[in-house]
Amino acid sequence: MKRLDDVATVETPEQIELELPLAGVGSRAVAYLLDFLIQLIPVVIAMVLLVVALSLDLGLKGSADGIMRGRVPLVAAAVFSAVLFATNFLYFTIWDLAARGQSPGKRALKLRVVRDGGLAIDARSSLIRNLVRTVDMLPGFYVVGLVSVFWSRAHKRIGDLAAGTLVIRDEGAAVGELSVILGPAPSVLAPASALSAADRGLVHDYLERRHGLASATRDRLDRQIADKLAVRYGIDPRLPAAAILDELKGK
Amino acid sequence: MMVPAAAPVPGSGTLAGAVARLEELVERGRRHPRALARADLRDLPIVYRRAITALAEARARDVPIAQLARLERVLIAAHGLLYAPEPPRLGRAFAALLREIPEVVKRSGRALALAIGICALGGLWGYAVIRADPARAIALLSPELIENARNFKGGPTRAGDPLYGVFYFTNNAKVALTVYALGASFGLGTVVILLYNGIVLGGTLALVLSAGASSRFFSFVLAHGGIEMLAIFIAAAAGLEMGYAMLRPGWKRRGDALRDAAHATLPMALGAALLLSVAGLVEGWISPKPLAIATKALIGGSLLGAALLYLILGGRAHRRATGRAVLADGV
Repeated sequence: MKRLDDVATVETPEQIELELPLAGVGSRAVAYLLDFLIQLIPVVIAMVLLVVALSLDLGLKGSADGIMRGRVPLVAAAVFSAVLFATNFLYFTIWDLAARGQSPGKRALKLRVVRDGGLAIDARSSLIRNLVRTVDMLPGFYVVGLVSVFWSRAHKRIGDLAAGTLVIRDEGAAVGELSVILGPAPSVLAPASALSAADRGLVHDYLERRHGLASATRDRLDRQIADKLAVRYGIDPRLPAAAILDELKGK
Repeated sequence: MMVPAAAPVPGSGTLAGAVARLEELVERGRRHPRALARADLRDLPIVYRRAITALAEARARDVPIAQLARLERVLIAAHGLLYAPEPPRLGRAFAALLREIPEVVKRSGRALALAIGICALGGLWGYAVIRADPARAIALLSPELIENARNFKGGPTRAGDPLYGVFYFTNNAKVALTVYALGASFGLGTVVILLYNGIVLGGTLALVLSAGASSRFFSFVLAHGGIEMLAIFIAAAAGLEMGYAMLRPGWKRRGDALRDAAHATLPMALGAALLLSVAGLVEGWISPKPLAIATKALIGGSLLGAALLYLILGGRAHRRATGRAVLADGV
């Protein structure tokens, strides 16, 4: 698996490379916030039940001293701590398994957790990912997780590293013109607006290595690539080579 | 549901048809893992291959990336769905886990010894400090813990009830799962929690002895204490394994070493939680009852013995070892 910009590349068994678009920190944070709010719902319901049970019990006995002696408040308290535990430790794993890596928050933000190879997440990876959340939350406000996301190659928090998972953008099915795919190659058509896969690879690879070249070689290769691609993508070939490369990079 | 009268063979129609079918299958299959019918499962690989071949062809023809977006998107999803192993049924996964726990624990013997050692270190220190001067308890233990330790002097404060087990279980399982997960902090968090718990245990024991409440203390602790401590040690050993993998990744990348260790030792953390559910039940139900200390010790001893027996004899490793011995005899 290699990384170019914000994608993780995986090779399918058919030996075709697919690029998984990695999710950014912002959308992950918003998704988490949504999930956090949803997690509050069962907790608040259980809390209300507990309060109701306690006050009923108080009313029946007429004194504060019978609080935990009645069985009803005890049941309510047990339910409350079980609900708290379950939402803490199982909320994300249940969603990961039931909706193939999409908790409601992730669904709203069009994100999905997958295993490193792009496969649907399994129970063990999900459990590890969400248990290790404890480390990512240290020392508060997900500081460790944030540092790890910026530091690691595929935007992974520690939980993702330990579980072997990725959070990817998953826009779902979109409309697109499929007939073009098997039509004539675009190089014979009028100037295209977007770089083709091969040309984008060329420009990316070249720009990545360019700064390491001797200046004479660099100027020569700049010119060659600019001349080759400028006309194809409707850029004025008389511009300086560096400006053409800049334009190409933006496409 | 509308069913077309004569379903065309998928992949024989247009590419657009195949991709549309693939999109529909992926959408349904991901929402409910078992939502795909037999016919769907037959079609899935066919339309997937049709689409991925089209992608390969299009790339070879230099088709602009923007026009491939839809195809790539559905293929990423379909690949993730098609090649992921079928998730096992819950019962089967649980049975496999029960077989796996003893194997993993046995493999982590040294980590387990280290966890016990670290906790004992904290315990000895906490005991020594507070035994020397009980007034220092205020500095080491929270007021709540001190109050608890003092309370052993009085009679039983409440009757036992299995429902109390829920509180003990959730509380202890939280500690166990956290002590495991914190292994991913280069083991640092796991060591700190082990030391701290050791200090609390040693300190509490010292306080109780100073107050002359030892018989009540042991009456409460003996029945559940053994398996509870065992569970925490197992979870901590799993955390230490993770920490060690991060510190000494060997020839692996650090992240990969962490991932391998986390996956290998997860059964220990889950096993600890399982053991704690039993411990919690005993702690809530039997421990508060005013039974003879000998009875409590018998209950605690048999529980701990059963757990150790399961860990020592359980799992496939044992059977394999016997097999090897037989082979060795033959040779």
